[in-house]
Amino acid sequence: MAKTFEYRQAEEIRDAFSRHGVRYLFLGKSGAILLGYPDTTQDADLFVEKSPSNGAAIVAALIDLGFELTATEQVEISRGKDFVQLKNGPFDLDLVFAPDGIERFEDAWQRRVDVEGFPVCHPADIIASKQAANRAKDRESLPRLRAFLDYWREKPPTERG
Amino acid sequence: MRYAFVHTYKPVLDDARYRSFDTMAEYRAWCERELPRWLGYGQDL
Repeated sequence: MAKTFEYRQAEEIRDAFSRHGVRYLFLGKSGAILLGYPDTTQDADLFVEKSPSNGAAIVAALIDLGFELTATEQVEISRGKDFVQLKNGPFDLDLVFAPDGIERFEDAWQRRVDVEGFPVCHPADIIASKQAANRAKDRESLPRLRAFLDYWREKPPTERG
Repeated sequence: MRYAFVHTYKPVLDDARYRSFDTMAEYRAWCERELPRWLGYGQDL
């Protein structure tokens, strides 16, 4: 067993990213879990808006959280490489600037679900990204995620978060 | 524990402190090429 990622750390992300004004969404299984999908994951996937100001805010928030970033890594994150995998902090974090299956951050932001202050991609977007990625692990998850989406849609909006 | 996440060691994937890719296609290609198939990050097992 190595480091763990827990709800408390999701709260730390939320609070640090909020302090620094980062525009982001929880994506992937970590996002689904925050919506109530019963499963586990090894890391958090964050869909982050690609812009110079957001890149700088992300770097500041990550340093605040305890991630150890070299100058080169800070530049890469600020510049917004499509995919950045961080294992140099208190928990594992994937920054996804251009997820498969979702065209634009702004569109996903408009469809987002707010759960206790966590900005989370709509479950249909989570499914769309996994469907587009089409990895073996995604194909394992998709049938149950689709069933969860049906269940989630039937819930009154006030009970979805 | 609320919304628990459990971490187990993933060969290769967990062996670097930082990785970045200019495009998602590059990341997907790296997963196909470098990761053990049983991790499920490739198209096929």
